[in-house]
Amino acid sequence: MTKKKERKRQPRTAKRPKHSWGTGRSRMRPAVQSQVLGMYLTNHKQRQIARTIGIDRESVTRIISQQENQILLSGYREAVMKIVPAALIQAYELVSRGDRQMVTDVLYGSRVFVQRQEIEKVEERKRTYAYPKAEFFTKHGRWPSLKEAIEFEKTIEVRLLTKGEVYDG
Amino acid sequence: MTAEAAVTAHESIQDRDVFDEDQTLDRILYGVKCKGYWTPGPLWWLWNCTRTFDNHWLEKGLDGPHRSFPHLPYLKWLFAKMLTEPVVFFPKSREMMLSWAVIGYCTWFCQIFASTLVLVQSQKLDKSSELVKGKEPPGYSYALYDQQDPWLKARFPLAIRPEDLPADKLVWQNGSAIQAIGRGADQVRLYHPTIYVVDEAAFMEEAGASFGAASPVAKQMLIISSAGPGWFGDVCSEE
Repeated sequence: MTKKKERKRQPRTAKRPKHSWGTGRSRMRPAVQSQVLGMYLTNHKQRQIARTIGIDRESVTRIISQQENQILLSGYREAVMKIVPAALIQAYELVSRGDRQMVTDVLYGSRVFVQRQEIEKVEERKRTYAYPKAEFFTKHGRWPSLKEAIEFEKTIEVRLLTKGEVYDG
Repeated sequence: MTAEAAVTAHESIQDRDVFDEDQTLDRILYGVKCKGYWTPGPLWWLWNCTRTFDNHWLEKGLDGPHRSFPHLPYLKWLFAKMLTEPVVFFPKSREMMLSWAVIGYCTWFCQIFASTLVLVQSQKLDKSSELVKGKEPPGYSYALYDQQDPWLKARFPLAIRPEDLPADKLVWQNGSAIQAIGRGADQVRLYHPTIYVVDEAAFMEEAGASFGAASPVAKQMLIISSAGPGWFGDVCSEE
């Protein structure tokens, strides 16, 4: 009788848990993590970081709150804080030398200068109907009600704002 | 007479300005009907509110390079078509102002309707950039924007300073943009245009493939070209 050879099997590893939440470690790519940390260091808000990179706000919070990243961040901060005095002296020297780029950078950095689109908003001006009211008064010698002014406006000759004469051919 | 009803001269002048702007904008938006013809809004804007750029102004004896958009007889039909048809093929000859007209329509569209993306494609990126922002001389779209009255420019401001804009892009603060691209269907696939414009399609490689790539996403497609053999000619000669 031949004895069947028993195949040797590798011992099975323990089953991995189906979900990995609660472990506190982010599975986000390192490149994304460093981008988040970099933006966080440069005083960007978490909401802004999430919008720029295109990830959830929760992911941003998770990356920033990780212990290893916290240690990394504090290290960076310390390193940056050490060079701040030197940077300030350098900036002061450049400004006093009349370096135009540094002057504008400082003014933008201190929010004295802002980008035009940050403050400029197209606001539609609202009608007060003061114009037809005044015209009505000139014609009839009394101030009209709003309804009368709106009706009267339809009879006023229109003056169009164009570059040249209006072509009506 | 009640005291509340009285208005000051200053208030009256201010309201007159708003009234004049509103009346003009009404015509820019909806056009105007006169002498039995309807002049569409974009055409009314081109004719009365902005000017084109002419390189041949010296030979033509003009005072400067900027002149009003010409009153060509087919423009009313052309703009009516552009406002109503989702896909239009324009076979043309040279010097018909058709590229100007189509770019004018796209510029008007971007200003009036927020968050519109217009994609302008031609054989080379340099050529399509000339239709958008350009450098020197200014591109068609930028020339039309720049030649508007200041109150219209303030009404439809650009997102950033014109000097900072690249030659192939024009962006408004309302989120609208005109983007120039070079030939190739893959170039089109990168965008989701509202209006897709092809200039000189008969002389562009992969014109058919580009059209196919744009057709599922573009709300309107305007294809212009002079006569030439190929995909454009085949489509135009189909019955």
